[in-house]
Amino acid sequence: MTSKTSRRDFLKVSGGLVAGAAVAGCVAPVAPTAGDMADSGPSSERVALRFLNKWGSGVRRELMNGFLDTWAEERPDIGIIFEPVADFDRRMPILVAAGEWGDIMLFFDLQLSAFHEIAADLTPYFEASGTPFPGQEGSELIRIPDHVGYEPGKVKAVPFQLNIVMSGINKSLFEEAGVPMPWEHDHNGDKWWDWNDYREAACAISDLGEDIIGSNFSFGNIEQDGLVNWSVANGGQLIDVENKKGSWNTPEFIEGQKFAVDMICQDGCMLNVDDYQGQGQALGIYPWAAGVQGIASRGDLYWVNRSEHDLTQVAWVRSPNTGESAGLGSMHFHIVTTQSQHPAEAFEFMMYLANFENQKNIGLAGTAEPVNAGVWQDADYQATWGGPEAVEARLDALDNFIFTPQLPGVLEWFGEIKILWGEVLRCEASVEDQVVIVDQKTDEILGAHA
Amino acid sequence: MQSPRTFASNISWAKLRPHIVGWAFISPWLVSFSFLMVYPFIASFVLSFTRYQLIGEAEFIGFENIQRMLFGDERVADALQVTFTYVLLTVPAGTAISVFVAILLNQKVRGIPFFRTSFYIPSVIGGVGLALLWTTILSANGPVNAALGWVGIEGPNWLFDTSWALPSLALKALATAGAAMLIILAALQGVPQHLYEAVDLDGGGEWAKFWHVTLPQISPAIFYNVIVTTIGVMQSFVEAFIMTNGGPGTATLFYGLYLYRQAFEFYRMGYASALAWMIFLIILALTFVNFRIARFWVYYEGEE
Repeated sequence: MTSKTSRRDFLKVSGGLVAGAAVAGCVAPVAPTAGDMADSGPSSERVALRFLNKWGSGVRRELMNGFLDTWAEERPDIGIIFEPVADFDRRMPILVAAGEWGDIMLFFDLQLSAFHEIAADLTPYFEASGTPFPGQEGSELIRIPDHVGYEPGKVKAVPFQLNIVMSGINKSLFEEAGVPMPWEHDHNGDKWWDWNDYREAACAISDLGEDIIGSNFSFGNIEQDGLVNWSVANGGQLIDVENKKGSWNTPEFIEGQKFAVDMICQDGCMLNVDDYQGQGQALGIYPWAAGVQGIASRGDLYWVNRSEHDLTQVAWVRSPNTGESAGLGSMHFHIVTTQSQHPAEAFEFMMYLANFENQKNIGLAGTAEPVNAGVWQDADYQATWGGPEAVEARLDALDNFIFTPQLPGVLEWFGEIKILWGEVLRCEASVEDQVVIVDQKTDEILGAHA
Repeated sequence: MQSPRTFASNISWAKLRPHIVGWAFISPWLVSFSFLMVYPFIASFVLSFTRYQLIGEAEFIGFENIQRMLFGDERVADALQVTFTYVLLTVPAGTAISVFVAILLNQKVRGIPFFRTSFYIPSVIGGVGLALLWTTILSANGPVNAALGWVGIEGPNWLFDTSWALPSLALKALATAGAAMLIILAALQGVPQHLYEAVDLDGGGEWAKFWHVTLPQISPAIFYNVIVTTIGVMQSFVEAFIMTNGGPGTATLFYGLYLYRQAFEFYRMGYASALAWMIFLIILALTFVNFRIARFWVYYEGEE
């Protein structure tokens, strides 16, 4: 038997259901709450911390799950609600704008320079726990950049992962071209390559054939991969941080850039920026390149592992004038937000993520470099680097990497300089003319953000 | 003058109920429109006079953003130039192609549903997926260059050559003109047959039929497409964001991408809001001009 429902009744009932669902939706929490956490743990006084981090998939997620499991066993009183943030670079600022800060958030260095106002001062917690500031004597953590993560007498962030840039070479091509390996060069007692050696090798290897590229490290992105390292190694500055002004129009900076640009525009031993972006990855060019550079990691996603060729990493080539190498590094930090009701517990968890054991696991997985200084000296970790030359090179890179200047407006500056310097890397503008324009633009952008 | 009591007694439940029910039915749209459209619209206008960097308070700075946008930021001019060039590359050609393809697909030949579906399918695929697909197709080592190589032509570095990057994006846009084609096809099928018979009686040929009957009859649909496509192309973002990131240099720096960068990469929400209002006003002006010009070429039945 069927009963007829009038249209009016149907609308009444369905309207009621929709309204009920809407009310329930407004009331229901969208994320697990402290109460939820308490249900799953033994202690009713449990603290729950919202933890926003990008390690939400693949090897990184597995590592993070391991960290969280161990933490849950060791500290059942401090629950962690892990919220992986996909598309981290873009979504994190939106979450900040929306006030969805959580207790602990991950930022990369330049983001932190923009959002440091939401980071709580961690100095009291460092002091209370008797832990030296990162990079200072007795600290197990490596140094962190000035101005944002660390100010004299104040720390606002705990490092979590490091990415440093290194050069690499294809040993097979070196042998084929009869070029001595970097560590075999006779430099009158100096074991390191300098620019001139690098250019000589790259050009000799370019001569091997049309499909072989002497050097591909002409990224247009100067943020951490680019040519500025040549100039910084030569004594130049990326930005005059103290005066918040442009600093490219100096003899040191120009000399470094000219050397690199000449390899593209005069010698033809280095890909220009568009060919690199257009063909480099598409052709799987890394294996065919004599000198390459990239983020120094050993995970499956990175070039050393991906190549079937005999690649090894070497430190950045040194300026013949200063004898120094330099590679821009980038760092990711955890912060405790100023919204957190449990900053002490959050600090404890952040320090746990940076401890030797966890950082060693990160290092061994090859998905980033560790921020724990002890791991860098660990034999297991060093054994993954591929030989004594690479060990030496990596330790050198750790000593010499530099941070990008942490100033408001630096993100915009990178975007603009990439466009301006692209003209030089396309051989359309001279280094000498363009540094003037770059400095003007730098002053303008930093002034606008001041 | 009515007393309150009299007024209240005149407004009976029976009279009010249709209004209340009507508002209740429209309320979901009304609420979402108010919060998701009207509020951001007004908020962005207010923000365009401020310096606001996502956190903290927005600081009122008067016309500083507008001044910078008009006189102090050469990238705005670059972005507008790229965007207008893209409009010129895609809208006229896209309209012509969609009309041509629609006419072909309006023929009575075997297998026409298959062809119609084939031409329309690219419009169904999501913007990001399609952009990724075209990135592969146009890569230096991709199928397009491989095909050119078979006939002895060395293909360019489509997406990373300052001369070719923008035309490459336009090519991608033209290949996805299926949505416009469908509207014109529908218009074509609505053209009364007796008009063609009249041309036959007058001794006119196929060209006369097209020029004097088909084109005037489908001109409102063409006009609609021109308006909608122009507005859409002026707001282009995904292609450049996915395929070229605005490069090389500023070769594909669409206005929409520049606006996005200011907002979500450089966190200058106030300036980005000012940029958003400028493109809104430009689109408004363009649409107005289009409507004025339409008087001279769009034919509406029933008009003098």
